[in-house]
Amino acid sequence: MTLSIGIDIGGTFTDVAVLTDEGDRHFGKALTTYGDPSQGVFAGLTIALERAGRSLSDAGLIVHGTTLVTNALIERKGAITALITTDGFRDSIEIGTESRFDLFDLTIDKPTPLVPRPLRFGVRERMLVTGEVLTPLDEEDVRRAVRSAVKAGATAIGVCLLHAYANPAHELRVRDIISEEAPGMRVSLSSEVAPEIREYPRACTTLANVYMQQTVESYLARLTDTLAEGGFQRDLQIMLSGAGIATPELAARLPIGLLESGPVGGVVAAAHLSRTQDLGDLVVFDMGGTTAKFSLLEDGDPTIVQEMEVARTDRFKKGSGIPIKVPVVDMIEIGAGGGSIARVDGIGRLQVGPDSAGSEPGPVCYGRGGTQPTVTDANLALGYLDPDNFLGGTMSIDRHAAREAIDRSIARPLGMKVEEAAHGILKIVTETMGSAARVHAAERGRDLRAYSMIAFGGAGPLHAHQLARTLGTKRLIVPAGAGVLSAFGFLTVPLSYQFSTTLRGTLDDLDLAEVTAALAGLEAQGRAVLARSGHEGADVTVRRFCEMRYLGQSHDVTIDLGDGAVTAADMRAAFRARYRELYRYVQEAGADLPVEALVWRVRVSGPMPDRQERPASVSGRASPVKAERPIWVPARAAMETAPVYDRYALAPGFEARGPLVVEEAESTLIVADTSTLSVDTHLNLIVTQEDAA
Amino acid sequence: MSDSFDPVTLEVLWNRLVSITEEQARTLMRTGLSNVLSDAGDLSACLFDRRGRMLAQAALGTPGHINCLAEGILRFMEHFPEDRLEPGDVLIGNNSYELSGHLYDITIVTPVFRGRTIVAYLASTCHVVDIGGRGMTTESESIFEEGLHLPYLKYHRAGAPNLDIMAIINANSREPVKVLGDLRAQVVANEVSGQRVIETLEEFGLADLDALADQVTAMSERAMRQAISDIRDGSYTYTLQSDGIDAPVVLKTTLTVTGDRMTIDFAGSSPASRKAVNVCLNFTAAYAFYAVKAALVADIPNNDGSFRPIEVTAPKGSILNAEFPMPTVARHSISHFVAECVMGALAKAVPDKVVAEGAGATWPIVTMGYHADGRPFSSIIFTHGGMGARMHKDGMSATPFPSGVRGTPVEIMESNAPLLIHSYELRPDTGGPGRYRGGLGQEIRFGIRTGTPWRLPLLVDKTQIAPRGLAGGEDGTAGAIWLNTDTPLTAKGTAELSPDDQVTFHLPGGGGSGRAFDRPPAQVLHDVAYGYVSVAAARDRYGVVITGTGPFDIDQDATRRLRAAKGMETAT
Repeated sequence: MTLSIGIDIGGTFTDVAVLTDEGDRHFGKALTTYGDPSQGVFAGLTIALERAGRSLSDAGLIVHGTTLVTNALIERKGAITALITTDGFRDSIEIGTESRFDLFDLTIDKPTPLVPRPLRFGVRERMLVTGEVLTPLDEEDVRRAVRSAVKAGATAIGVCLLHAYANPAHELRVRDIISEEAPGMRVSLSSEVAPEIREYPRACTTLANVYMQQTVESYLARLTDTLAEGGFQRDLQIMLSGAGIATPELAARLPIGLLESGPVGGVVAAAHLSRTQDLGDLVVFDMGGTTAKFSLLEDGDPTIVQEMEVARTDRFKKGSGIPIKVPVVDMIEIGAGGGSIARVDGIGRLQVGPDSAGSEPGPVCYGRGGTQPTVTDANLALGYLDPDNFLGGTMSIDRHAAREAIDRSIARPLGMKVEEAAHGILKIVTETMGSAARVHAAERGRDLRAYSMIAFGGAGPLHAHQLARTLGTKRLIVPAGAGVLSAFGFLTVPLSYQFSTTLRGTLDDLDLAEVTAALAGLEAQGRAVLARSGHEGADVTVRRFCEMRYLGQSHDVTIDLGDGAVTAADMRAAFRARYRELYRYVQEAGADLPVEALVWRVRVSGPMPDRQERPASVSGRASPVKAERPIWVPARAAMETAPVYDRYALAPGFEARGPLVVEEAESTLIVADTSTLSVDTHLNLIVTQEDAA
Repeated sequence: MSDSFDPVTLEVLWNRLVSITEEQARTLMRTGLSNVLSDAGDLSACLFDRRGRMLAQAALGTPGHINCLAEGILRFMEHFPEDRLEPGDVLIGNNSYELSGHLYDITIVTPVFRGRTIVAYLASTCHVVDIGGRGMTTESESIFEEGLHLPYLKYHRAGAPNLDIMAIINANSREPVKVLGDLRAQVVANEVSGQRVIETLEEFGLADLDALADQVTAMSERAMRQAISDIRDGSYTYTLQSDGIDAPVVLKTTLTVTGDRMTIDFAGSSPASRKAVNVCLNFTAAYAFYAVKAALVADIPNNDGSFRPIEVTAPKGSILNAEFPMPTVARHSISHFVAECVMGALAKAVPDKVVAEGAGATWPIVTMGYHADGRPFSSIIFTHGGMGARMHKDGMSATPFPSGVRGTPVEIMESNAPLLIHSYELRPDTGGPGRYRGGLGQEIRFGIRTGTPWRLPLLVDKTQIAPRGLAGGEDGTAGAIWLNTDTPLTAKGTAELSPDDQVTFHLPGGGGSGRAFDRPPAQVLHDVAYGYVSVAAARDRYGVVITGTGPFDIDQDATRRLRAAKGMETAT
């Protein structure tokens, strides 16, 4: 009789999902409380537990994910941190990639390094690219640096020495000296946090990690205490950006692992649905108030990449943030959400986003002072949202004001009708998302037309059908509880950790014995960590990867090494296959190009949680149609009356043709053409594209 | 011309075209075999309509290459009119005088066919690692010393690679595998994006891109004309000097605004050089267009329309209008100053929208030699000094402008070539003082670890003449090159070095903007605390008296007195 609980602390709301042993699901939502997030957690928990008729002491597991770590990094609420690096290179974190991320904009700002220049200390030492020592470590330099750091008030030190990924000896010695000079100082070594070639991202990662340690540790400690006071006796686990979960101790040691811990909840939830319901390859589409996120699932498996960017100076411009090397679900985020602002620019183009009206002042229809029309206003003007049933009727919105604003700012300047202008706004936001998704897929060698789309988030189902049409995906799936998926997602992932090392060489001269030993070492490290949580032997899944490329290239291709012995021939074949898949050709026209292996990774996972889930029940309403209202039907360029279905009354086997609307508490599905809606046995809404577009 | 697309469809289509070129550029960077392409991003990826009008380009890439293609595509079309092309054809060329200015830049153009009709062209220009000849050096005295010239040719015929050309490239480059690999990446990137163009036409039920091209280029043209109209009619001139080779090179620009048109003329600039720093007019124009667009209308689409209201001219025989058979391989060391020169003229017309002079030209570290076992190596790495101050912001340190290329991580440099980098840091007191400070240059010390003699072709600039400040801002600090600790090296030429020699690049800092004495003391204090500005420079150049040795503090009284006294001095 135990409960599993997922807690997702987002920027606005804290979501709590409770899953009982019998497979019943209950849900609670509360505002996020920034001062002390555990208050919001408690509020949400109280609602969900009340609905379940249970108490916190019945819970056997709580899994927690949050965006708070990302926010804290953006707001620079970490420790005063110093950097110890090779003498002559202390500006590496400031010089970065020596580039401008926008070619034409002369006013751009580069990200401010996490460590100010006065706290960056060079020490005399030097490793070569081979890992050989060129200059021994000058220990006096290190001692002086540590004393200066302490004097300046630093409580954390990141150590990133050149080529430390190839030989960590000097970094290890630096740590010893720090502990002699400043006992209790927090230290992260680049050779442990991100042992990979490229000093700039490695240093940024190391620094971000040690910078956030204190903050995350005390946050998790406070949360653990609060939950214990509430009667929770058992395991708290933390969701990681790489789609696994970890113990609070490990999460606190590697806080960069939590950077995307909230947003991945939706992806892992979709992965779980894909596996348990056999949904095939999926495009995951999650749209909220400010942004839309995309990712791809193949065989229910999210792709994990090894680098992300945080604290961008221009939120949606690649290259404007700090690079962090950490396993993270491969996702893109686009500045397109319900709050995205529409305008006509100086040369008469209709533009939507990426700037957002947010929740304050919010869209015009909120009546909180917003004057620029947004995507939500457009949805309202077209009848896609019901002014009387917004957020389940908890908030009243003003349709007239929305129409007014669209008329004034868009329709009249462009000489269009209000509805046309509103529909234009939606078409453009859809195309913005579609273009980004297409490029994302193309970069990964994927064609979205072979995928189904799964849509959730507050605004996802509103736009999903139109987006699916644009992308050519044949089938759209809107899962039950689409607005609250992330928190449930946390309950579907195993404990999982990744370890990596750099061993560089071409396939022809790689020492396979050394590789095999290194991989075994990484695996042993992983198994040891899992053993502490009680997972051993066959309970543990091990996956091994290698990053490879043609000698001289800067971009790597990740291959799965499989289970057996590592051979050069297998690796070459796997590399060629993946390369061809990505780029449609292999770089070997007659020439025998050397292929290089660089970084080796081992991911260990505990068993997948095996939990019963009972689909939410269907209410006994006589007719599933709860109302009718006029909605904009683009094919006929007119408002036409469409039925509004109550999602909670739609039973498996139900079928209807659009145009139609389906409403549930947190989201609305719009089918504005004659595509077919059906409901499957899992109570998923399925929209099948009409044949003739 | 009436608009055929409503604003919504137009925006949707436009978005699509841009994403097609983004995909093209990313494929290039990810599949290229050289660090010049994949790390430094010395490339362009562009889409044209069937009449050769540039419609869209990837934001990745560098403005010189992008804008050169706008005109360069027409040369390909003249040599290969539609009736001489068939599906599967791919064109190649690296004409130094008509395309992007030196043989190292190879352009690949792919006509996109729908049935038997061309509906678009995709093109990219990429800098290859080696094209033979004397290599990346200023010393050649004619194009014949500079390597392999590929005139306008078919690289693929009806889908089949032209093996003869490949064999010729293979026989003429020091790094044939990387060059052919990069070319392959270009061919494939064009092909993939061509397919996307066709899919887009089909999805929207369009026969071709003509109407769309009319409309988007007209929009950009209108916006550019409007921006030009907002400038008071008249002529604005600026003269910029760079080191040159034996004597300083003068770039003089006269920017004339007449209603909604602008002419940019370079009469009065130095005559062509005997050495390889000559710039073809197309490349000159590319950076002139770039400067105007970045200053006036950064956020509108850059396409054929935005170029139309502007005419760029330079006298025949001048250094900015190179003609056959002048040598051009190191043209970047002059051409990068074109944008700064135009900025200087614009400063007199729209002072709020420009940047001060900065380091300008990229400082490539070019090393050549032999490994201990006798294998040759050749490596090019781009490094960058400080950018000039903006009108309302400091200049960015160690940042290229106007070029759009990137640096290379030290650990990657050392793994791709037998280089040993001893330091790579910002260089204090190099940013020109001003209300807004110029970006800092760098100090880069390096050597080689082969134990054998090596060569260092030098092709850098702004070592004799410092980047100038703007609107009362002071000059940045000029660059310098040192052999070991005490022997200066000249900025152009090839140094022959011993195995243990170390070379130090002192990269120039950018000019400041606005009066240094107007910089708030708190910002000067910050710069001192960060080591960007010394205590002495704070006092002498900013009039801010800093006390202490860290933590630092401002002596407010002394600062007021000093600033008052100096202010009087400046006033008189």
